[in-house]
Amino acid sequence: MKADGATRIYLCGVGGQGSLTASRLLGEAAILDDMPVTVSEVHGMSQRGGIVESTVLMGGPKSPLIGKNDADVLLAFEPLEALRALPYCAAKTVAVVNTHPIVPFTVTMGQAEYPDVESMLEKVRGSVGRLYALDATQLAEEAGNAQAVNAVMLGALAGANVLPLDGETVRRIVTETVPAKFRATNEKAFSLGQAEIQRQLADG
Amino acid sequence: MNPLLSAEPTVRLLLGNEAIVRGALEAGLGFFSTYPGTPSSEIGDTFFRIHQEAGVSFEYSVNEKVALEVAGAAAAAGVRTMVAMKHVGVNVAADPLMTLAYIGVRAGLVLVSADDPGCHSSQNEQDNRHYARLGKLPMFEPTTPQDAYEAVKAAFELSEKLEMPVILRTTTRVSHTRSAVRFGALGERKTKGEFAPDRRRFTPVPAVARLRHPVVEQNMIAAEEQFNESPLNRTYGTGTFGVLTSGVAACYVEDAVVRFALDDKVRVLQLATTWPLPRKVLAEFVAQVDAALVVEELDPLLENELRATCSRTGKLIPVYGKESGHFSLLGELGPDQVTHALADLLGFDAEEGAGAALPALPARPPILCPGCPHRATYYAVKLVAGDAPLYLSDIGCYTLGFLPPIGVGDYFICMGSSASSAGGFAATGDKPVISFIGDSTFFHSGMTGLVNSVHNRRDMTLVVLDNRTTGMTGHQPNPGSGVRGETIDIERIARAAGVEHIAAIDPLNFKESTMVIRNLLAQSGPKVLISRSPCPLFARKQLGQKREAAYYRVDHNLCRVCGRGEDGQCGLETNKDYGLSRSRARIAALPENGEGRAPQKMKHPPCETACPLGLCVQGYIEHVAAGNIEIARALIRQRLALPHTICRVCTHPCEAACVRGDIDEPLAINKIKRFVMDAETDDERQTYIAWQRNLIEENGKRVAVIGGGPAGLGCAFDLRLRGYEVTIFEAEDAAGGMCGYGIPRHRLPRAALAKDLAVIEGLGVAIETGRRFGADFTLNELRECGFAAAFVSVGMTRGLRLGIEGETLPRVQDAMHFLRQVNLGGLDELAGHVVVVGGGNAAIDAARCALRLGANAVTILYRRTHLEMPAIAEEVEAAQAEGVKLVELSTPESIEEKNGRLTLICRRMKLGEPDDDGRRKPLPSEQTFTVPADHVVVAIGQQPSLAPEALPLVECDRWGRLRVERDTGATDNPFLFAGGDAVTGPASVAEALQSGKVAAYGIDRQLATHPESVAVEAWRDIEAMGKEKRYEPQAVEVQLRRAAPALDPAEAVHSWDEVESGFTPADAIAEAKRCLACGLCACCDNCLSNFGCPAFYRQDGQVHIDPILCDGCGTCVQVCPNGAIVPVRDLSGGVS
Repeated sequence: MKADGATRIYLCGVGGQGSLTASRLLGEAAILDDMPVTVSEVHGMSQRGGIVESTVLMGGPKSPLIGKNDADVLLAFEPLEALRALPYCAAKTVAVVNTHPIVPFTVTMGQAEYPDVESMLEKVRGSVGRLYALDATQLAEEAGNAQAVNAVMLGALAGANVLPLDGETVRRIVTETVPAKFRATNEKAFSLGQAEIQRQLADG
Repeated sequence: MNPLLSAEPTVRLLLGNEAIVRGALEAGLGFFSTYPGTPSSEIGDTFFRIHQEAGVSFEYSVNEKVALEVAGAAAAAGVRTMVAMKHVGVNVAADPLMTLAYIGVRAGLVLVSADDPGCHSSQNEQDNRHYARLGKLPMFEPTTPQDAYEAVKAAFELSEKLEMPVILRTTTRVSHTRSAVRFGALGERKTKGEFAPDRRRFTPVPAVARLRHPVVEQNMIAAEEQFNESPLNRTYGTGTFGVLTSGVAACYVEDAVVRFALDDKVRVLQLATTWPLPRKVLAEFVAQVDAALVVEELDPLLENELRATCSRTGKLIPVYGKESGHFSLLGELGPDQVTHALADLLGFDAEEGAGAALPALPARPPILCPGCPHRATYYAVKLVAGDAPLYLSDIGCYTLGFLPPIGVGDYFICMGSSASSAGGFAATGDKPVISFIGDSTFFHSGMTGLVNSVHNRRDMTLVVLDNRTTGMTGHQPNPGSGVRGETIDIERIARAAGVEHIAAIDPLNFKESTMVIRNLLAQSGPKVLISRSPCPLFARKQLGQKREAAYYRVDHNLCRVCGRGEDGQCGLETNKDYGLSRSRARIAALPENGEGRAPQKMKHPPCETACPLGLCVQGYIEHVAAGNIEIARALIRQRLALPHTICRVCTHPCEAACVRGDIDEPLAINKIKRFVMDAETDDERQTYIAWQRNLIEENGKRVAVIGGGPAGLGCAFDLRLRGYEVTIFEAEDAAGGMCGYGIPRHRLPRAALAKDLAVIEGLGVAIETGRRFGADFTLNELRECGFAAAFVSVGMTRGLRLGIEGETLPRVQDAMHFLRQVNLGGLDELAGHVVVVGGGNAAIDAARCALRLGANAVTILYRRTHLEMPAIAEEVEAAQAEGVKLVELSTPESIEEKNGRLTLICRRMKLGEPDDDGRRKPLPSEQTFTVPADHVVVAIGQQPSLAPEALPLVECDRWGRLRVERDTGATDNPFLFAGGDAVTGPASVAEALQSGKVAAYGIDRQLATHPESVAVEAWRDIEAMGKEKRYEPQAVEVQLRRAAPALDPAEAVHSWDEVESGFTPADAIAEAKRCLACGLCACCDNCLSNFGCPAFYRQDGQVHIDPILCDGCGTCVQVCPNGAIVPVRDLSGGVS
């Protein structure tokens, strides 16, 4: 699709991972930087362990949705969901993927098989321009709270330098708009995610 | 303070629904009512949070009709009012809505209808723009959150000006999009008004309604005039290709225009006021373009209006949209479809992507949360009612119960339909009907359906899943919540509605809930079950209730463990019904009060320990209980060579050991087994043979079996399954041994034995009959023929003699001889009085045969009492019922013949101390007596068929029994193994099969290329097995065992027909359900395949509980059939 200077971010994950909060925080960060932004969420059935998708469009589009092959950024909170989001990706896409699997109950019950994580990442790598893979769940645990995956992912996104925003704005939003007791954890989680991607960037 | 209450103008990132709230606040809103429904819910939820601070009167109404009626009155009283609902909610509110247009309002009333194209969270994707036309109401359709904010303010102005309600229609992508919204200042608000009655307006009797209709039409004209000038409708572009759009679709149009620089090619009309249509604006649009594309979601309303405008203005231009195939009537639009249509019509290259092709990926449907009480309610109802009923569902979180593994929910239409549709199914069908409805949905519109079902006397059950909140839409309180307002009691409503059978359960206590449900479902007529347990999320977040910090883990010493050890597992597939049936049995065994731990399961249930063959008795019984007859049969066949025979003649020590016998009566295990085998068709038997034969891994080694009785057949069967080539050498004309010539036909029809022999031969065992050991072949010859080992089971076919005077008289014979003649021919009738001496099965068989041969009377003389008789008790009873007289404590000391009649001179015995086998020893008394007889049959035991010297190097005991190693059947001769009566002395068929099984194992150990890889028969360790603590079920309901139908004894004695005819399927299943499932089972997946708590996961073949997901509800502890789930007390530290 023809370039128009906008940044289209496709977020996906599993209910309970905080990807909706992440998309809202990206929206708040854009407002703080006077960047036009549209955030779209699906509520309702997508909670309770189902698939959660959201979009953040920065830089002018009015549309709440992203077309096929038109995501500039894929922020996937779970590897299987990253794979499911590939129709939105293209050579221009920078993908940031949490490698920590959340096995769907259909797999637990034996109705389907969960694909091998490495092979899923390979498939994603082959369909996007650049893949950053990290175990955000483990980093969140290192930061002191497994629930801080979204802070790690936003740190990683900031680290990948793909946002039309100052990474520090995102960090401010992630740390300042949450209840005081989560601030330190979020700060650490954000930094761990950011450092991990910056390390991958430095490694080429 | 909530940013929405900011008094000053500012810019905020707002959800479309939040922008609507802010717009309403700025418009001076005084009253708000709603019923929650996605995608409208955040409007109500936001007001719920801020209404006190904002000074707005607020209510969650019981349903949308009520919400609108309340709102209509508030607005009539002069208070600016908003009412919000999802698109299908407007259907519920449609009745008041249609008439509200007539009677109108005094202050502004805005109805927000949030539509859901694409059915993200709805049961349909109806297009509510039709309601504006139907109700003759003005409609606004915003595109972005900013538009929504502005449209609300304009809607209030218009509503108040025209004194009629106005609809604001959003869609999911407007309500749930966040973007920057620039606020104005907050206005004054008025929450109190005074209604000024006007009977020529607000009481729409026909005469008044007729007066009001023209007012409505005039209002629509006034609205159109205003819309023709509305700044909310927007035109841009300088081209001549027209694009008409509204709602969120306008975003996609605008983005495409910018992206592909179409500004000089198109002229876009973006309508925000879509009804009444601003015809002037449309006419101007048509005048300026020479073709037009209409971009709208769902129905082609604007498209057809544009055609009408062409017709009206006389300028006919091509109109593209749905009819031209550029857009679908289905689902929501997105940037791709809009770009594609524009590129197609304007002829530019959009560089469209096709999207990566994906392999099939595992689905990730939403699922009931860990700790959700709905799951427990569904499980309890399924435990009691199984798959028999028609299960109706309704709209709420619990709708998710239709997904596997719960699978409950066959039908629903809309909110509240479960309570009424149940009546329709009950009236027209035979299946029991059970409807599930949430508490909020019950208040919404289930109550009326319930009244209807009671009034019309429908036989249905309504299960109210009372989790105290409106879970699916985000935990809004309802009239039963006790969070705001008066609390309404569902049970009292049901009682007042006239429901006679009402019960309430705590779904987290299965013991109690299943009992209550069973009792309730036994009633007829309308029934209500109230399942009370708060949604754990709601309890934590809104009721402030904290569960104890506990989670649960799986004890892998109990989960997926079989008492036989890893190698002894049956290897059968896990089965959903089997898990449920074992779970049911375990819950039945829980303590009545639901407190304390369930009794510990045994690794080896006593039935299995007692079985000489180590059959997995519990396994096949539970499969029968679950209706899986074929799996039960496969399990039986795994360890049993003669199933059709044994299920008729077994002495069933399993039943004597049954735990159920501690409570009422032991399970009728052997009769259930007989049902399973009798149900086998010829085709099924052939299928089994082909399947089993295919599994055999041939090892090329040959083994000879000498003697084709049960021991030989058992050994041959097991060796064959172990891969050996087996030949049976049988002296008689047919294999079967005692089963062929010892047991009479009324107990074992020959067809049953024939089926077993056919299977053994079908598996590839060769049977050579008429080949007598010693006479026709020798051990050396077997060796020379290439047999690597031989198994000797030549039995004890010669009857023991009493050793008394007169024993050799004619008409005195031993039972072996007698039965052989009866069974193989040679003795067809018998008259006079027959006296049988002995107390074993042979004695009973001989006595009953004598009756069938025509004896006038039959008497059994036994030296102990019936309590010590080794014969099967049921057989003794049956013989007595047929007329056999039992004379206890009697033994003959001599037999005399006088005038062609025999006289037995007998001594009366008395019982002394118990002897070695635990039975009290008979001691002679002083007393003697005589018994006259025409025939005497001596049935006191047997002696070996072979002379000891026939088997070189094999040691015998003083009774001539061969000595073998207990665990392998090996003799001192390394070529020879032995079993059967020749080793054990006269024993049961099962014991004979056991000795064959032991020797097959011993032979395999000796001949296998890798003896160490031959699995030990773990079940042989009877001593250790017997030491296990006996299972102690509590509070089991007394339920006596079922009897199988049998011939009338008076009839039975005149025929050789099988006396007992076996269980019916219903009886077999009912009897199997009496099993308490006291043992563990490795073939269990119940927590996953029936309960389905998402905190469970599988790793490396084991089941685990994720401590982060576990809610600590503990219901799984009761669900697990193995009792393998145990609490871990403390999350923070000391894990148990």
